[in-house]
Amino acid sequence: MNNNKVKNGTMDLSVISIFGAFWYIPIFTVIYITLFLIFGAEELDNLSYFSMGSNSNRIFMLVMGIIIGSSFIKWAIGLGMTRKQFYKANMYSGAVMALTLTITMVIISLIIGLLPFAGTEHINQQLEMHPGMNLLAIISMVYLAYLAGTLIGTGFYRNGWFGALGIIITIFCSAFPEAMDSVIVNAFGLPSGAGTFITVIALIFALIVMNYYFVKDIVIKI
Amino acid sequence: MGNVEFKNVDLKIKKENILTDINLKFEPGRVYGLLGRNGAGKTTLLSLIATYRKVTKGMLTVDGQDPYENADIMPLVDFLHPEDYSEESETVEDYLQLAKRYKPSFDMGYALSLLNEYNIDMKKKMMELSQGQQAAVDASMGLATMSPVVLFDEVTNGMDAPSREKFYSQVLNAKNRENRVIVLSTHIVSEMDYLFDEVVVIHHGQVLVDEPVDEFLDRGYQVTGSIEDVDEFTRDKKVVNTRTLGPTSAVSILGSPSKEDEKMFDSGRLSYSSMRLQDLFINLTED
Repeated sequence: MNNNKVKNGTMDLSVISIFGAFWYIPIFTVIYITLFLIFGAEELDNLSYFSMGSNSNRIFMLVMGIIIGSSFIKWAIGLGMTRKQFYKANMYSGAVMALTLTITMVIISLIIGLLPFAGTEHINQQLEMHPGMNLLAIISMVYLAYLAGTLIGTGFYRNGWFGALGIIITIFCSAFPEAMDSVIVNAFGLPSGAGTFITVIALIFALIVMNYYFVKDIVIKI
Repeated sequence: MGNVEFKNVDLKIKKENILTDINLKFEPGRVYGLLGRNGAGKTTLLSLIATYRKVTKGMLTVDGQDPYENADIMPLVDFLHPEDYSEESETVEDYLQLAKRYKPSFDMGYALSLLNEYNIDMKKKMMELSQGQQAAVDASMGLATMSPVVLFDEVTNGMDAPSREKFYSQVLNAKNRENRVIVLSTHIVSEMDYLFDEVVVIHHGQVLVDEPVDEFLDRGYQVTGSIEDVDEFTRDKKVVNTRTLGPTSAVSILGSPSKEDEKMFDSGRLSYSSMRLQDLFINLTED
């Protein structure tokens, strides 16, 4: 019964994010096509749909994280879930969404790429690893954004100080991986992007732990 | 199953004592009236049982176990309180399905029959319902989850009088058909007093009264008669409430009538009845 609650919670939170994605993806696609029709591919550095999308995916997931982190804890407790069960469901659903959203973007990118005016360059990510690893790195970055979002959302639900701490951690998480890339790459002789990927994975673990401490003993407001 | 017990429970929020030395026991098969002035701590007390927050000191148990973050105990408790559904786009039907998925004991047939009494359109979104209808959905959900502990906090807020009457009869039916703890926290004392088996009065974060409703009402009595007779009768008594209508007066008096008083009642000049719960409550919680 308890595992079912985590499963149900994961499913329901994912459905909420998917519902949000049903709005986000078409709007983003329309914006991408419109920009390329108005300005032309060269003006926009021939940026591919996927390349532009992976950046906006992070923003979308950050926002979803804030919404779910701040608005659904009371819902979960009301349904008889523990804080820990909600936390697990939230972490799982973020991972599911990061994967689903990125793969959806890849598929749409293949279709959009067929349009004559669309960009084809994947130039905004300094990722020069194996394509599979690059994809994994992009999924991880999207997941990291979600974790940062839930940290902000849960933080502000707790109180302003935790919310502010969540914002600081988010800013740190958005800048730190790229800054660490050259350091790790040069130190270990790895391909470009490996440093970012390793740092992102380390930050994901750190934020998973932090999210638990933000949710643990949180007071439900009425 | 479903005993709720507070043992010397304290709750502090930001160094302020919200609840102090709470000792209470809620037993299955009984309806408890939780009364108190605004800010007395009623909602906070219920929120502790629902694990919305943690007790600062003492021990709170549900079914013999600490309910806080207890995955086996938390589903046994339902806490219904006024909610803001102004942005809730789910339909009533979705809402019931959600409850069914998370609460295996949820009785869908029972929920539908309860909601049917309020004539609620199941296809309507929660945000499209009136405040009273939303309250009726909450009230029905609380009963239909079949949880052993159901806490209703001002759940009739927004309901019109006929809906409130329906809810009261549903509570009585629920009490008769299932063995569970039902706690009703309310300000509408005069309407709900007949539902209570026991009364708990919270005042300034402390338990002022915790006793069966009959015992509580024995703390006083009510006398009705002509204004002159009543005035004479109450000369040396503690009157807590007086109502007059034309030449007739009705007073609520603390204490028990003496043998001499009883003779007055036998004479037919004054009539005796039980104290009104609301009068006692107001008197007890006056600062």
